[in-house]
Amino acid sequence: MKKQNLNALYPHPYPYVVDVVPPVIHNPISVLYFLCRWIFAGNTSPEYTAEYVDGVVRAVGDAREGLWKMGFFGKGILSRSEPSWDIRTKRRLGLHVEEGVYAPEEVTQFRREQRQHFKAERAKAEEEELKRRQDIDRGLAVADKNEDDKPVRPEFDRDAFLAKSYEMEKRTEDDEVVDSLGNLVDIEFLQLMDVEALFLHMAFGLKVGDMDVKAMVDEFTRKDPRFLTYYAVYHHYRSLGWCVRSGIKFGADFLLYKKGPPFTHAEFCIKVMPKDEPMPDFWWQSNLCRVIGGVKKTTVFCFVDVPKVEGVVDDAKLVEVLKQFKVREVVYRRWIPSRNRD
Amino acid sequence: MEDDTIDLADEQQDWSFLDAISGTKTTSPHDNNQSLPKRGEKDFEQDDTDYQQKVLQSSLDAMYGALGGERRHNAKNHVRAVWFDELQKAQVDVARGPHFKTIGTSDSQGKVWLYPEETIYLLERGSMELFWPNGVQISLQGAYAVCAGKMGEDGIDKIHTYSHLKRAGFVVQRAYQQSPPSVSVSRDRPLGSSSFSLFSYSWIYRFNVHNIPFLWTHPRQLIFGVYNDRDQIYRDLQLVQAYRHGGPRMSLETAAENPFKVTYFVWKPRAADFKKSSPPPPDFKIVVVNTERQNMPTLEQTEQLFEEAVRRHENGDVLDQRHIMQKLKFGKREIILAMLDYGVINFVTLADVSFASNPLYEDKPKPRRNNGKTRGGAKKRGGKR
Repeated sequence: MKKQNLNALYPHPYPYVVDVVPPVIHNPISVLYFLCRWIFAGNTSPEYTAEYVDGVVRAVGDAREGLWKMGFFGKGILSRSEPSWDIRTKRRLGLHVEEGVYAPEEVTQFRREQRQHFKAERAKAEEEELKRRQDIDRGLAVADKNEDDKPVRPEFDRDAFLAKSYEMEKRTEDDEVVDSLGNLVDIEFLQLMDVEALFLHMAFGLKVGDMDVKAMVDEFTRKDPRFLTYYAVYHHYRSLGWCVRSGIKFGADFLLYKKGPPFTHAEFCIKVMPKDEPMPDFWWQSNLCRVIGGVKKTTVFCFVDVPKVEGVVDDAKLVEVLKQFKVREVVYRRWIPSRNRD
Repeated sequence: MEDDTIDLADEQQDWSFLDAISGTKTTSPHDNNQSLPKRGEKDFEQDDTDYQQKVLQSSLDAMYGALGGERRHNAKNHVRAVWFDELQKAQVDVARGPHFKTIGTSDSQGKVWLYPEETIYLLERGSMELFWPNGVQISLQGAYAVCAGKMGEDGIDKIHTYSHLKRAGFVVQRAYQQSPPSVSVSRDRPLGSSSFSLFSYSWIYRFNVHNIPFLWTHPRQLIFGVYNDRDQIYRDLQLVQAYRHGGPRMSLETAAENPFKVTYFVWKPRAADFKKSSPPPPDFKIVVVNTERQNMPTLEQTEQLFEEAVRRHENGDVLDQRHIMQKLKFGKREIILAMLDYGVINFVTLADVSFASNPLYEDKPKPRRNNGKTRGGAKKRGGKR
């Protein structure tokens, strides 16, 4: 399969499409052009809506697709991250799927299958080699063989593999997700972290039910008293252009992706450290840094000076409160003397 | 660079490279064309072939050969030293041998004096003997007692750290032997101010017919209206104050003494151009900490340490020309903690980084310059998304 052009697939780093007006250049015609553009340029941004149900911010339909594709917000509840339940289910039920479209989970499956196959081939080659050596010992063969036959990665038929892997998985429940016309009813929604919901709302106007900033801050702070501290850190990295996602997989608070998960692995793991709380011991620090170092990422302790917040936090106040937060990063990395000699 | 966190000492040792040194060549002429399996391949499941037997045996012989070799030092370099307990220093009779190029301090009479950790290190190497002023010899055990005893509660930790780094080949000196710590001058720049230029016209773009509140009800959101620059969106989002390189500290300066102090200055092994009396700026600064008694340094303590930290560009490391990811991973300054837990050492680097000083959105792909070097990109790595 040809490699997808990811930049063309995901051109927008945030769910906001602007009509970029050219800079004013000092000659009459360009000023005129600028004025026309300035007057008629509009905001063509999508207006997305989410719901807050049972303590979870959910997005469906256009919002689900848009929020994922423009900035990689949220997680599909039936998928690894990108909502892809419909593709996988359609393929499993034999419904029409566009050619060459694969869910990320399926791509992972391909890779695993290929690797397994490769390992089997290698084991076979090693077994043959052992037999040859034993034959040499018994005088049944002579040592002259060239030892360069490394197993090669085999060509791989993705569709045949998927057809086979989905073959056995028809279930009675499947009837409930297919409507009378034979179309799949998409039941997957995108779940947003609380910090994502507030960020999308305050910066890009995402509607979360009928909640305003005050309702969101109250509700999210009730669930987690340190919500605003985590929000400030989330907002800080988003405002510098990072794609910020949960760091729970590696024991950190946030992961920083350059662009987003389809492009690269995460580069940094952020651990939020409120400045005036007691410091953990070195065993805790070693745990975290070894886990994160083991997956080739960098551990960043993000120290936060948390201001005292009094009174109601509405949208004007939130901006004021955020301006009082201060952050400073310190990277911790294991240092090996023998690797730093020259 | 990519795997500088992998410790060779954690891997299985391959002793065969010592064959040449220990002089007990274990491989017989007829299997010269056979090489040992590469390190890391676990193929020692017994398969009853002569080939495997031979490989295992030669590996074992190499280890015995290396360990069994007699260890000697040159009699010419043998030295005597006298321990002066009241000074907590040892005086070397006649300083001989290459070690004194980097170890010890000379007084005005040309006598070389050793700190306790230097004394212990030389004693353990076997090239020095230690005596009391009355001529009675001090045993190694006795030396540990007199040297570590009065260095304070972390004396033994400091000795361990010193010996560990010396054995790894580094040049190590007590911090600030030559000059007291100088407080670095911070240039004042307000935290988190985004650059504003009258000529950017950005304010013009924020308002057009669609965004005039009287005509349209625009949504109450940070980002609205028309932009002439996509990066301006990020600048408008920046509300949280963030530390920037060269900016003021985040924590207030207090009079409280920092329990974390730079203990040792360390230079990479290049003794040829090292001058004990006027050493170059150190390559690393090491803080010895005890994991039982100390927790991670607070931000305030870390900021204090950074003020005397090693500036990476002072060591010929041209930080400013490097890629944004390198800047964010290695920072402008660094300090190293040597944490000790009953003799076991773990080193960790604290790097002074600033994400706000290196905004990701300003990192645009540049036309490729032909330097033939490939960066350690994400594709090569393992790991999980």
